[in-house]
Amino acid sequence: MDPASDTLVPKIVVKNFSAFYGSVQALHNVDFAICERKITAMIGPSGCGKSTFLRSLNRMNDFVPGFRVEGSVTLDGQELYAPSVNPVLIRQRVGMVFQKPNPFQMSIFENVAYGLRIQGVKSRSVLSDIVEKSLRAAALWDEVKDRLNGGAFSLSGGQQQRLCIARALAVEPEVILLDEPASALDPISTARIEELMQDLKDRYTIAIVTHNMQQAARVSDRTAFFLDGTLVEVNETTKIFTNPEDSRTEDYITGRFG
Amino acid sequence: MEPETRVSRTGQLVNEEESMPVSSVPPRVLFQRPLKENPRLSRPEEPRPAEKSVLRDLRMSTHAKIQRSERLFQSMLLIGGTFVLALFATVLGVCLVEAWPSIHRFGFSFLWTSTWNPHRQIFGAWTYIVGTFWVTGIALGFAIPIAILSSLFLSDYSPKWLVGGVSTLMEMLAGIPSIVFGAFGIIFVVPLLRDHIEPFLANTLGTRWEFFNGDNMGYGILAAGLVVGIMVIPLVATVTRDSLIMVPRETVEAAYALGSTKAETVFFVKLPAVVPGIIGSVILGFGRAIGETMAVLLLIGNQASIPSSIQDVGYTISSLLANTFTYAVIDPLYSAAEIELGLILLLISLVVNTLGRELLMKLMGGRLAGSVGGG
Repeated sequence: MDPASDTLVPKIVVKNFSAFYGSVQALHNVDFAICERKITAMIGPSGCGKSTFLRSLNRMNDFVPGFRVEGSVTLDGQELYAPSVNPVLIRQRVGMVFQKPNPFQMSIFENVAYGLRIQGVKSRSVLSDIVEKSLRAAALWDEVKDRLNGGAFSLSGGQQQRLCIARALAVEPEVILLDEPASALDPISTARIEELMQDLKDRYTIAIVTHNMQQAARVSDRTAFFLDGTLVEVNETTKIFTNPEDSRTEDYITGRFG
Repeated sequence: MEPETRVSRTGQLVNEEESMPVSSVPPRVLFQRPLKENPRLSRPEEPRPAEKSVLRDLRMSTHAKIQRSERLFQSMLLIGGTFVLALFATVLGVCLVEAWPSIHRFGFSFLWTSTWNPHRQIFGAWTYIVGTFWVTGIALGFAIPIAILSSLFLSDYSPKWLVGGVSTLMEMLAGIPSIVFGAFGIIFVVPLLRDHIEPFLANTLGTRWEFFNGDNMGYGILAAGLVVGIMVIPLVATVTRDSLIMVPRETVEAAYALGSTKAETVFFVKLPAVVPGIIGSVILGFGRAIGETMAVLLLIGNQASIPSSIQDVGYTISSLLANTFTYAVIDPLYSAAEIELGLILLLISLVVNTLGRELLMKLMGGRLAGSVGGG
């Protein structure tokens, strides 16, 4: 482990954070920090609130009727849920890749260029450069460089998911949230996505929700264990998987429940 | 050894070996051997094997039944399908035979001849083809933008309580008879055009382009086109709204997660995703507009002239047929010419339908095209 990985710079700081769907409380007083240039994994059984938590970090829950939060989430010290903050601007800085590959019904090129176009980039050469760079970063360039104008749905599921990653990278976010990005993919595509995350770690802050504990152990630097809407434990991944402090964490990672 | 184990396991193998007709094997036989071997189940009259055999009995006897019911169903479908084909062939055949004198006499020049004179026995379709396209064009040009905007509003912007009501109204609008729309056109649209819109057009755009100038009558291709457009709006709007609602939530989320505003998401992601649905509904709307008869007949002015301005009167194929066919039947060539007009209408619809389908196929890359194509 290189020395730099021991210095933790908090990027997103969550304090006393609770989330509600109507009258149902999904998260209870979570205190947590996602650190810069690290991969933070969130694990826990279904319904434990880990996805709700992830989606709260770029205000994707705003679309859920009746959703509200208490407490504080800050990105580089800026309060995400302050009334003066426009969620659109937050999402330009905190990108997201979803469980199911969700390319747009457009060409491969236009999928990656979409985020740039809506931010006003018009120059074809600038677009081409960034599209190529993003597709290379997502390890997809060699497979699609000859058919950039082909439809995105002609790609395989794994390729589509890497396209979605390229699309998210193109707008140069600071943080990338991955919501079970490999759960719909075969093992080979999963391995490619995991490799990709290691490559991206140098430049981006990454948070990943996963059901797959081996995946969390393989890819992440830090792991957070959620249970019933509370954050049970967060620590170095090696620590969580070898010597967890909380007995519930141990029960979960050893497969005694969940 | 081998046959024994087979016997004790499944009934079907027994049947094969004894080569008995499937349905004639009493199912209980299958269980005799294991029952004897197993002291706990040594009574063959026990209800347990009988219970199990009910399902097995069904399975064994259904092969013939399935085949019979399949055949019955297939022949019913065949009758239905053949009937539709025969119907189409009959209509087309009768029309071709009846139109033959005109087809034979005028040939292709029928299409671009603009004289229509029953007394001199000269017939040409051009005036009516142009009139038909004017009305259809104005109708679609008016209806498509309004329908798309209204469906976007309903799917993404309107408050929840409004959606159900407006959608129901929209569907009711589609069911109103065209004669009612025609009457509405006469008592509302014509005066509106005559007193306000047409003078306004003439004084603004009309000062530069003759195309918008005219004598402010109210009646004409504009009135007919607008009213037909009103009739087309619900068609396009309902289909578009339904397709918009069907856009996957994941797609919309992807757009937002990339930092799109709501307007950007709706216009750059949702709208392109429903283009096939819109095309399908426009094909439907085109069919409705091109064939619309009563409302057009009441509003277009019914004058056989080629419009040179949006305020001009005109004549469409369908309104001509409705107005004159009863007189035409006594004259063989006259009626043949009118039926040929009808055939042209059919042909235009077919061509537009086919082109629309081709476009859909191209857009969808062959996927799903069958499910959204217009009829």
